[in-house]
Amino acid sequence: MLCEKCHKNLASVRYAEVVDGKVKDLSLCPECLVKHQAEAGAGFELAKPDPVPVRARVSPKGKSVQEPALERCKTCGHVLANVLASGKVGCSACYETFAEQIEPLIRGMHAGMRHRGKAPHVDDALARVRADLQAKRALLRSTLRAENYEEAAHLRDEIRILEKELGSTERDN
Amino acid sequence: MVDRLLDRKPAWLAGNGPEAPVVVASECSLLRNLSDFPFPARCSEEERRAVEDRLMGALGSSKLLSSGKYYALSGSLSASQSNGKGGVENRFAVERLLAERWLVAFYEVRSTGLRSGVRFEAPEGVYVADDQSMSVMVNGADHLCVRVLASGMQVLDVWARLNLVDDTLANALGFAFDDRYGYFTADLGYVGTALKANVILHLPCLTMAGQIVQVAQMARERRQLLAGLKPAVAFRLRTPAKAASVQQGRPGQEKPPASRKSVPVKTEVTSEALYSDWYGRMHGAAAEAEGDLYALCNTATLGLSEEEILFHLRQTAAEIVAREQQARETLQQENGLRLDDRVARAMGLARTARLLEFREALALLSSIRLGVTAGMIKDYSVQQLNNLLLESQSFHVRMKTGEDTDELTLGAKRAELFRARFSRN
Repeated sequence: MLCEKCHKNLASVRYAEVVDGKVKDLSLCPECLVKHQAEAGAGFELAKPDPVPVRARVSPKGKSVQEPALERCKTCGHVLANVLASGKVGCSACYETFAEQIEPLIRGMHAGMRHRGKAPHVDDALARVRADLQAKRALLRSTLRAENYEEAAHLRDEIRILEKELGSTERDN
Repeated sequence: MVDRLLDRKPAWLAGNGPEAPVVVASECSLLRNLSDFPFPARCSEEERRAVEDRLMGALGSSKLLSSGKYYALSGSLSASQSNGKGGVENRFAVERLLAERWLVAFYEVRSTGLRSGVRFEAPEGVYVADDQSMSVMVNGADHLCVRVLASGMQVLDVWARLNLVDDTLANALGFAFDDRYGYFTADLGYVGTALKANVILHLPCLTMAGQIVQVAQMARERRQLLAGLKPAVAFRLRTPAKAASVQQGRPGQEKPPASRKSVPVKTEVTSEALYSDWYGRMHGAAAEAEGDLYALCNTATLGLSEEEILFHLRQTAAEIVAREQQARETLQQENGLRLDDRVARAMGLARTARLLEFREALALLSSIRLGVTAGMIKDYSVQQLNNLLLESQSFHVRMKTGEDTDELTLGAKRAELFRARFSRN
């Protein structure tokens, strides 16, 4: 659509003003908008239309700014674009490097965003009991939801034993 | 080496586990990566050898090595190390045999650019326990993939054993782990517990009743996947010697470089084996199943503990088993003649056919299994049927007839196996 003032340039801004209680709608090009506002002595300011197209902003003054998709993992050199295309990363550090970008992917694939369950090398006996307790409580909830009362009773007993164990250890300390 | 593998039948084919009439087998796999190496795809050749050496060390120190054996597979072809007497062909034979026994799982490789496409690769090596119910694959998509299989519905026992092996290896190897993401894996879809549990189900009556889509939908709502097992494309290895001899005799042409020479060419043969891959992408949709065999597995690994994953899976599997039993009863009552006919026809074909394709063999075995488990046929056991399923796969037949056997001979040999098993005398 062409600008309603100069009828030459492409209209990229819709401008509405209220004159005597009537709404006047105009489609203008950035240049005519500035002129029109000056003529009307506008009482408010619009955000200045950016004359530089979005795509040109990526490389100002001929220098190439790295696109986010070309970002590399410092540890293994894997490129973000590959991660996004294949859903596969190159090393454990990629999870940290691309944390922000892979989060939506992981969210879509899994039931939660935090690991629950087994951990290797838990040397601290107390931490192991706590983790076990946490897992069992979660399991009890889903067991109850599934109305599997026999297993739930069994789990409840186990939880009680663990709680007692945890309580006595913490008192000893 | 191959003979030793062939002689033993995997323990998980015994057909004696709980719910054996419907549940063929239970399988759990764990992915693990060493914390001080990038994942295999970004590893150099040397790094991959170092990973392999570390695993060998861990297996040795844990005494696992004394109750099993390690095999290098054809994935490690470029490796300079030679694998004892074996050679390339032998490695390939071992790989296919173990793949057909589900002790080797393939992984998907997507290539982009000019030769873009999807192909399936085998890991570079595998440790197999003597009873063939446990394997540790090395340098697939991840450094390690530990897998345990058992007959029937034994997911919890399988997990207990897998957990034990994992603890043993973790002490010796040091796995990549953090509190937030759990166990790191190359594929974002398996991070967390990195546990994939599979229940292999035989559901002929739900299939006949047209309820499979409904059941698959139920599984999907619970973050599980009901996939249909279907024959996958098999490959034949053209040996480097043969490939080189084709190129000889052209005047003025240089010999192919030595490095090229050592890479054998895999050529596609036909679809004639049930393979497994970690992602389940070699399986089809539920509606594409052949031989009424299905695999039910979990899809989410992060945000759920191992116990929760297995609990939900058992729950769904139990429901499906109950529905299948129900469908069998209904069918027997309302349409008994049709069921009888299906089983009797299958027996007739199995006893008389002279040529059997793998797909057809699968269908026959499905009907006969239904007959055996529903008590309509008395003389055969589920174990015999399981063994026959194993033996009628492409490479197992080829081991008897020779690797270059053509399709027709293969089909004839397969039919012979069936006739020998089901003949009246």
